[in-house]
Amino acid sequence: MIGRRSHEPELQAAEYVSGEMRRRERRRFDAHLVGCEDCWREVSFGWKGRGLAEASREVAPPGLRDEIRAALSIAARPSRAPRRLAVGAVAVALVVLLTLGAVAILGHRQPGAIDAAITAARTETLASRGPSTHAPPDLSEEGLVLVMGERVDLAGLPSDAFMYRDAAGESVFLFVSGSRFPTARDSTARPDGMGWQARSDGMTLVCGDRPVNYLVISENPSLVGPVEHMVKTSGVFVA
Amino acid sequence: MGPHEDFLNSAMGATDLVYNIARWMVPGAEDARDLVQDTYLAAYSAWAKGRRPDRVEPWLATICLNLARSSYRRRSHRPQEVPLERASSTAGPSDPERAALASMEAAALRRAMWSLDDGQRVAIALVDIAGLSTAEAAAAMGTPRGTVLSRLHRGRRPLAVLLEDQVKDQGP
Repeated sequence: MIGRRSHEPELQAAEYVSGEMRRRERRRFDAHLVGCEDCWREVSFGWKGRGLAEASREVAPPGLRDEIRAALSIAARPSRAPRRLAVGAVAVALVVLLTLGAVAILGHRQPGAIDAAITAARTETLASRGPSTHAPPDLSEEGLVLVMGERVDLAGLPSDAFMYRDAAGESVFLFVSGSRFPTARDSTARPDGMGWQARSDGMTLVCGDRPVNYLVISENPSLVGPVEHMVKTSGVFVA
Repeated sequence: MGPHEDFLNSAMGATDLVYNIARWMVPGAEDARDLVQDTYLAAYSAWAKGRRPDRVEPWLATICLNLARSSYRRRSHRPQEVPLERASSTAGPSDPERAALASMEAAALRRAMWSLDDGQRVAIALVDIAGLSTAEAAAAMGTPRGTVLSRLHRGRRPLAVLLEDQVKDQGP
């Protein structure tokens, strides 16, 4: 044992080499290293590996900053879409933003899963963990086209995430999880007593737990209702 | 100051950091450039809507990582570009190792990095190369901090072996 911690040479070496041990813990570990061959070996590996990784740092190529500035100034023009915006997940948000105008809304900090969902909806990017466990619901009758359906992790809450886009390019996200979503700050209870609704960071959120735990998010409030209605009535999600 | 200028002032200083992350997310230098640019456009989109992260660097790193995983993962990869210039030297734990680092071809280093599994390579890119804390890297990767520490260590180990081999090759 090292102080109150169990003996975990790999994790402690990683923390030590990363410079993230608190001073007192570091002093204890320094003393421990003198007599522990296992930890000394792991720390030695860690320093060498880190040194090699640091040696691979590069300076951004000449011209990249100018390219970024040029792309951003195109994006900042109200009437034109950015020329080199990535296809798919990122594309239309900027056009929508420029059409509506930039509105600076600084939201209160939300629980991790809610914050992660809002960030995903705002940036239209998701860190996929694989295909969704549910088949993507069809919302074509509502004029919504499926853009992606992925398994994601919302700050520790595993969920299916479905992104749809309407004809105007606006997006709406549906998250479905086996566990309850945390309640957003400043939310209000639904009139029917099932779940909550909130506005946060310019986004409209509705959340319920029947027939599954779901969270719908969009910048456009009118896109939220049809998606929630589908979740509740289509029979796609079984309790 | 408008959001455009405000964003430039806040975010452009992190271009090297985002580029170094992008280099280990996609194999080719051209793809990395595109990924950096897409990262900045996505970040600006959020910025113009009022998003103001506490720290710009981990926020950009998260966007870069998410974009690499979603938009870029289905791309057919170009043949890996391996520059033949030598890696720059940084401080190492001993003189022979510093000398080995200085003489190591960037190609060998890149091969070693790309031989790591994705989680290990991303952890090393975020912490050792981009300089994020392990907590920030954990938030960006959507994993517990303990997982990041474990991936860091297991990724550093084969790099250390590579360095040791280089030292042996150079002899006393």
